[in-house]
Amino acid sequence: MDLKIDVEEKEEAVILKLDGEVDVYTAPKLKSRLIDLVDQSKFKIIVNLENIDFMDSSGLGVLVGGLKRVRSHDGAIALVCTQENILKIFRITGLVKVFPIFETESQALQGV
Amino acid sequence: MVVNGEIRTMIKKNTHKVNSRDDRKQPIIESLEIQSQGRKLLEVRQFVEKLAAECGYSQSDIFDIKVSVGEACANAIEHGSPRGKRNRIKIVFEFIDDCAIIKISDEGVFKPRFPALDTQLNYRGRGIPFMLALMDDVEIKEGECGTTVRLVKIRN
Repeated sequence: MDLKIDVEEKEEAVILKLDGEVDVYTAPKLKSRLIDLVDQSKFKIIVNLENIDFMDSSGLGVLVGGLKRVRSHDGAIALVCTQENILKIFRITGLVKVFPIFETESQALQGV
Repeated sequence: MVVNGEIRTMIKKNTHKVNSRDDRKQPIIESLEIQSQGRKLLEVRQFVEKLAAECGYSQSDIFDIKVSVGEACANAIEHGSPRGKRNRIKIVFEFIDDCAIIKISDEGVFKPRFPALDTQLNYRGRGIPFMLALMDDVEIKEGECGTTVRLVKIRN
């Protein structure tokens, strides 16, 4: 399964809706999209992980890289995720303390 | 057995393959060999997912196995493949006595990284912490011909 990324601008934020699997092979696509957004001065980003079936450490690494980029412009990345399996990998690595994680996009829009 | 152009061997310890929750206690060994390429990781995940499901693991445990095996294979692709795509990675899945033992063997040198801790914003270094957190036992052995990562997951 490949990784599909839909981009939607809402209020002052950009929402990336991911669909598929994020691994070593597909993570560069997400990285490239995040870099493009920062280059376009989009520093408030919401990444919706609700339709992600799988994510490994390379996916986390890309999100961390994106967070570093937006933070250097006083921006933020918020996540939308209710899937226990995906949340588990954020908990294991302690990244629940780094990324604000919301249950819905509207909550994320309020919180980002 | 040849599947999708890859060499795949199947050895049964018993005469019946485990394919349902009723007879899942029978031991199995299956193996998959892939080219050392990131695009092959999906095939590896599908391989272990199918077997773990046949062995009666929960969806949560299957996810743990997929992540851990994927991390070991990703490390093998990155560090255990001095000849790039020409190197091969072998995955052996064995299930016996309510316990899955998965061995991932490559042809290079394992490169452990210091684990990324809590709020450190490191890009890398989370593969081994994943394996340690998600599996019941993790063993990494370096040999003359390559590295083997041995992962154990007990079925609850």
